[in-house]
Amino acid sequence: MTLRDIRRMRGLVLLFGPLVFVLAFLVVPYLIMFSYSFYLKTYPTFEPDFQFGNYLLIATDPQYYRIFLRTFKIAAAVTVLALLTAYPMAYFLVFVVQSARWRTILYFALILPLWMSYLMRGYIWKIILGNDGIINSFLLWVGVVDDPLQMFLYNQTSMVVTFVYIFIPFMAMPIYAVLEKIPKNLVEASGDLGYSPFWTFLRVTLPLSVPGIVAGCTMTFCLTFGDFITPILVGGADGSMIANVIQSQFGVALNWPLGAALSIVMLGIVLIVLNLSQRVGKDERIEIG
Amino acid sequence: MSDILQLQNLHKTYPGGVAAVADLSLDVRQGEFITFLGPSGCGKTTTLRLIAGFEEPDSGRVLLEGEDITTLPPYRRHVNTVFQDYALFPHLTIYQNVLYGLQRTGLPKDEIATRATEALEMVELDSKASQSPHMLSGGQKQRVALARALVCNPKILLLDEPLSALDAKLREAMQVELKTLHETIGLTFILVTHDQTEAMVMSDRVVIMDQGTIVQIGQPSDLYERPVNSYVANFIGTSNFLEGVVSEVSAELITVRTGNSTIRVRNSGAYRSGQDVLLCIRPEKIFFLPEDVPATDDLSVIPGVLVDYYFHGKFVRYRIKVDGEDTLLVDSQLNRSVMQAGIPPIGSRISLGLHSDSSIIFN
Repeated sequence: MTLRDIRRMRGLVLLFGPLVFVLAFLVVPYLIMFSYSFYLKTYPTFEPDFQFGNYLLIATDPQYYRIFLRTFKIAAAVTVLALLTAYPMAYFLVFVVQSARWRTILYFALILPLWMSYLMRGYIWKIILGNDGIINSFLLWVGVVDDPLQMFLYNQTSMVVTFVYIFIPFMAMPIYAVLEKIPKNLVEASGDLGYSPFWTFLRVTLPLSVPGIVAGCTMTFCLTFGDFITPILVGGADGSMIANVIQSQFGVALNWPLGAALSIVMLGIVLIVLNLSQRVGKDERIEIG
Repeated sequence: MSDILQLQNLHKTYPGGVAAVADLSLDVRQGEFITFLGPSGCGKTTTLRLIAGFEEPDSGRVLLEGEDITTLPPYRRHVNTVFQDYALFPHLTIYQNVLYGLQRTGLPKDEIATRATEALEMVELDSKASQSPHMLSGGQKQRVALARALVCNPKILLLDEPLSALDAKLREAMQVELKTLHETIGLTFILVTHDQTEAMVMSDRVVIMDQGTIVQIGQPSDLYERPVNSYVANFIGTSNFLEGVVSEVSAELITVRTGNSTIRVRNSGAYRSGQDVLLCIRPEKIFFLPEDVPATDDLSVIPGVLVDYYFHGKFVRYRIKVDGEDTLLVDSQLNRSVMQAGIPPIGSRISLGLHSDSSIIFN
């Protein structure tokens, strides 16, 4: 056995476990799901078939593509808002906070919510936005309103707010990582060459942080796109997202073939987004130093 | 010659209470090449950052052409910096890097394009214009950094250890290049370095710093021949230090006893008999004497034993034990007579000679 063979063997041995795991619990289920998407629904069950009826239904029935559109809209809004919130946070931590100790403490505070159950984080917003919630109690106490306002909870806005809160760490972490790597002397060089802090941000800091922005946006978008818990918690009548529909197809609606087809379409959309972001990331990947 | 830059009583203390610069005053003349030299932590870089505007002094003033710029931010000062590790923008091409500083000037587009191209031609990198900084070698990056700073027409060019990342050969070449460039464009250069050779080779004047203050300012030859104290003598070039006691003072000569030998030094000031002094002698000022040469007023004779020698190419450095504890370094040029006579065997007794104007005496 040559050294190269040994290296290759070692690689295979190391990969064996994860490979089996991924095959058994990811690839195989997806393949099963994929084949189900061509099945024919015959109430109350369904039978094996190879037909495109399920996909055709998704493409033609406004009910489905509207939900896709809504999910896309919400995911996009969450991504933009999370970016606008997380970027200044990360920037503040890296460029404004001078003491390394405080930077660590604040960074810890930023990612601390990740240690809490997702459900908890969703429920928090019920408490804040609900009838007996913090906002309504305050408004009643101040006397601005006589009855609790219904407008805060169970709509798309409350969903967006909750999503933004939940996914801010996912946006902030990659941006923080990228900002931290920008050599401080590049910022100084820009100032030295006549650029005020504002222009330095536009011409140096922002362009150099694009890889972090892309990574954060991709994670936030994809995580929101496939979420079904927040819509249940704080979404109202028009708060269903595509994952909720899929869930119901496999549950109460008992239409596995349609659910499978919806899942495949959703997977396709997420894969397209990932592919796009990877391309942008590749163009923007810059060797610093 | 007028002063382009005046530093007046600058103080700067960093958080933690360490005084980086303490009561520093200096006038820099128009067009000169001045170098701040000292070990790390001596305050030289802080001084440069105070001039560039990256730091604000706790007190004191910075005047550029008579105008107070102490609190002006960097982007409003007409000085430009060449950074230690170049600080080229990795997301821009070489050309865009050079163009960068011109884009905020409001000059017409075609003019700034011409100037950027000319600057790249000056540093002979116009062929690399469209490349990314990471494709360039250290020396090339250095030249881009130089072009990027010079293209802005600064009143002063600040250089923060610009050659420290380069290897020895390239560093020497860049020293010559920088000096030539300085002579060609006549701009004021302020360099910060910890490398004494670099300072000596390039500068009109060298400012030697220690613990945030200026120890001595002078031309390189002044600093070498007439250091004000042992710190400077130790920092610039190689020195032998001998402790001794003044045994006799006449109008012209001071006689110093160091162990078993007597060294006569030209009387340069107020020394009295019995005083402890430190003699500083450059290795190349000491020479070998044939045996039995008598000491005179001008010539001190020091007996010793050859301990070791080091071959340096153009000269040989001998280590010679004198007076038990002390050793002296003696440099001898490898001329023909030395080559023929050969290096004496280790352990031989040797007689060393020293003229009375060759040692520097400190309190």
